[in-house]
Amino acid sequence: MGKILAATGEGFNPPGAKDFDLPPFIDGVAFATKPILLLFLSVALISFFFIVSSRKAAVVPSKLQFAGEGVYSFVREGLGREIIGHDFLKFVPYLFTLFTFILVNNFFGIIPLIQFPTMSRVSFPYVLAVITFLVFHYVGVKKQGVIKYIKEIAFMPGVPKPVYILLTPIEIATFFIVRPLTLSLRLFANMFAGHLLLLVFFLGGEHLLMGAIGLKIVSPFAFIIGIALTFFEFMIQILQAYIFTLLTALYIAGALADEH
Amino acid sequence: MSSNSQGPDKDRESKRAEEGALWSIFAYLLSGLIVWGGIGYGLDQWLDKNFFTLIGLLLGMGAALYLVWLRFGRK
Repeated sequence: MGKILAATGEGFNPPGAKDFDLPPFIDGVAFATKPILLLFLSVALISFFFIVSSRKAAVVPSKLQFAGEGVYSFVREGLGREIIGHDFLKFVPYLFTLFTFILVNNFFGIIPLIQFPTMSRVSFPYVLAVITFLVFHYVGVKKQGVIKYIKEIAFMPGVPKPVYILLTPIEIATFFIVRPLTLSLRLFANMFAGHLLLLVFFLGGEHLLMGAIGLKIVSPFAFIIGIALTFFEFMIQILQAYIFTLLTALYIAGALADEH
Repeated sequence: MSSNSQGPDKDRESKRAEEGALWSIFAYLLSGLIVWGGIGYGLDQWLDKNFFTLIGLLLGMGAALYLVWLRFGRK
């Protein structure tokens, strides 16, 4: 693709992984980068929104309170109560924080002037997955004890003993490696690919606009597709925040369950 | 679970559970391939052969499918 574009104009610089490498904006301060700034911004925005929306809580809710409570009850009822079952209340704060945090950080990808999804830097999803990993294993160990919990994971009941040689490595790998890895990589890859897609269409459209007259005519189509993809991205961003929280809830539910 | 709206609640619950099962199945298949394919690849490197990777991948796939059936198939 880059080759075709480069052939039509002079030196189109196709977007790539380098566009995610944002140098620190204060020289010599390694952590003063845009993603980290956005992280703090998201925390400030979420706190502000939910404090304001719940401060003047009334029986007849205002629009703001209605919106805040809508998000909260979605996580509490839809993810907490339905999946974790009784005992779900103590996990709601974590699920709610996780959902809103990922959601807002994903939204940064399409908010004008910000336009960078924080989770397209892989370290952030890694950390979130590690926290989820610790939470659901801790819950399982606390509920059933270390030995019983490990036994439950590694040895599926009702299988002839020699088959365990085949199955146990898969179970262990699933619970301790594949789960956190897929959790984080799914979020990262979706945000990374989405941002890259938007970059291709908008930078490509801009480049076509600079080109010959024939290319100028084509360029609005690139922008139109780019705008359509922005709405598409909006859906993906919600979906990814939802899936991450849903899977966290499912893992916790699995660790709490006595029998699989 | 509240008893007043058992019907739709149950439906939604089973739908979410299915969604979860989907991702669990995906995770099982992936780890089956990685673990046994990896073991096969290791044997290939060690013994200087070239068929253990294939055997490992097939074994892992089969074992993972069996595991999926054990966990979700028999009710």
